[in-house]
Amino acid sequence: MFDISWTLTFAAAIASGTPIVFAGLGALLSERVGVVNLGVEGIMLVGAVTSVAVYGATGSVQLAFLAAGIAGFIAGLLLCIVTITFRSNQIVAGLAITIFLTGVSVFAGSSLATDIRLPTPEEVALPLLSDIPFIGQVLFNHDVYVYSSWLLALVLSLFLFRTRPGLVARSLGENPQAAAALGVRVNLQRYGYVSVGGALIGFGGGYVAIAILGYWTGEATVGGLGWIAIALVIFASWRPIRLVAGAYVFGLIFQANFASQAAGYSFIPASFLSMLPYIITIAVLTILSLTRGRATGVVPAALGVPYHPGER
Amino acid sequence: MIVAFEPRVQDSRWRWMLTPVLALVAALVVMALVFLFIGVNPAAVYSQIIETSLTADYALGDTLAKATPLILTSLAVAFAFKMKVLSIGAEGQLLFGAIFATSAAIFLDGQPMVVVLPGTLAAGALGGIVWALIPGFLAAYAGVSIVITTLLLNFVATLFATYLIFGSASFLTENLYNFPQGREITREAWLSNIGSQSVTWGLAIALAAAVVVWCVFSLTRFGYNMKVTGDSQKAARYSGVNVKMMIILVMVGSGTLAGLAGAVEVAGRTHALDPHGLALGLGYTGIAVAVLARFRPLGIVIVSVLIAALINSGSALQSLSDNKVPAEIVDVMVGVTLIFALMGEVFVRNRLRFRFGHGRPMTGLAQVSDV
Repeated sequence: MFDISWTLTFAAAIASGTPIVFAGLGALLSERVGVVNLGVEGIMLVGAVTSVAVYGATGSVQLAFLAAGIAGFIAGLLLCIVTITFRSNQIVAGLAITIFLTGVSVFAGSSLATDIRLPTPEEVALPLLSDIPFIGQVLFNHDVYVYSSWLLALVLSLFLFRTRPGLVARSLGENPQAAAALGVRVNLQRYGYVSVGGALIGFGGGYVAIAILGYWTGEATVGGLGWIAIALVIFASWRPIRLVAGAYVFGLIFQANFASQAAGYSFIPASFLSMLPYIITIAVLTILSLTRGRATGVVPAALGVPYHPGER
Repeated sequence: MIVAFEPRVQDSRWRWMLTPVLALVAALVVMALVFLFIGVNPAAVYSQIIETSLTADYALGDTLAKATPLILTSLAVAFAFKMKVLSIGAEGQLLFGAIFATSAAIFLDGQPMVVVLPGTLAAGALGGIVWALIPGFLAAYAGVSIVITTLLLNFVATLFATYLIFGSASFLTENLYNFPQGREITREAWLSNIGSQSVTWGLAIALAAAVVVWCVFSLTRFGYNMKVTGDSQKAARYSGVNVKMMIILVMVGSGTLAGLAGAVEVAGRTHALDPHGLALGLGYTGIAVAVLARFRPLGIVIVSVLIAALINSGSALQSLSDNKVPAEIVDVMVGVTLIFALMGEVFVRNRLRFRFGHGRPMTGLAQVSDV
């Protein structure tokens, strides 16, 4: 059980789950304040292409990662303009933004030099912790972005559930009318959180380009991870720490695919393994609905409901 | 100065029709600026689009061929949206339609055309229904959001179709040059071409479907009930409508249309189950078309042809000025048009009021500056 290949598989599951940790946290933040973001796939692509372009221009991986976040922030702003200021249907607007940004990314990517290769970020073994047998190698021997994603989840969780501004933020997704009655500027705050969420989604795309692939290969760079991130938010029932754990479960499923193909046995065909994240999510959603998730506070009650001041 | 949206009292039909047109014009202007910026003559791009999609030999036929499944998938979206149900599952239902249609065509091999072709099309519709009923039942009896289930089931359907072709040696596949691919269906199941054009009689099916959907919307009690249920489930329940049954029936209708799109693709174009060659993305583009057409059947036919023309010209654009314009520019154009159209809707529902000086507008008015 503790042999080297298992250690490697679990460690790889964490690495391959990291893009959806970033993107999932971004989508979670957006949904917690009441805005569904179906633009995740497109925003991740923009983040990925931006980071490759910035690395090509500057040679700095850190700047490339940062730029992915900035690109995501701008994409998040675009979603806000369409859904909050112009009051469009959030679902349709999100899909429109995915169509638009997919095109923009591939368009921008086609003018990139084809030989840009980003160096794999160094693994930093955490002192002492990484010496724990098995667990140390699985959890505490990763690049700095993996550790930052944990910190991010922790900060987000503490912010949302332990601070007053976090409580206000959640109220935007539960009962915006009540928040407005208390003097909260609902739409202004939604603008802020959804854009910051966009930045996190951009980081997710940047991480794919930087640490997982190391180059830009068009639409396939992100290859559906954005949709899985949307499913992940539901799977984690809108909780940041659970989302990290869920991302690694999905990451393990991705790795199991590679492992079973490499080993040449396929008692479960690869396609069926890949279906699991979607099917599990539908099951979770069904259970949440049957247990009245919206009424009991698990699902943000005003999720997807636009807030128009003056309409009550 | 305060800028405010004030709800319009009367809905105006011409304003609704003008919005997508203005959105398209705005998108063309913005894209022209982008082309100028990257050093490509916009006039060259636009004339290339018109030539490759409309005026060149066979171009119009190719465009109509591309529009055929698109009409059906956007009708599927519009059908569900008549009851304000936003289904984004046309993609997966199209694939299941294709799987069922191919299976039927292979199963019915050897029978005369009058049996095979209708059987193939009916099986396609059935496949779409099967895949649409899962979110339908979950929504009706467990209250699960149709948006999310239909979205996620698209990926399950894609993976299932991939498994059938590449992961299994089923009756749907054959090995050609040691590479697995979909087994070609019998000629009796092929939709024949109209004249020498590449467009098949599938177009007639799509147009007939548009007429049927229009009739259901405008002439039947069921269409009226859909509208009532969409506006208020409570009101519908009071007037004796079985809302659960309505959700199921709406998904059956939507699934039929999307499944037919899959059948028409198999019988008219790919002639085999080929998950990579099937019209991937047409389910999502169908949503864009339905929104631009304001969910109206006639509008859907027109917008489908326009979008199909854009899609078909994509590859030809690559030949312009050293590959500076990739085929994906078409996605950008569709996306920009859609975003402009969405943003324009607020001006249809509301009018802009400018107020100077202090003083808040009357209650009930929303403020742009107050975001």
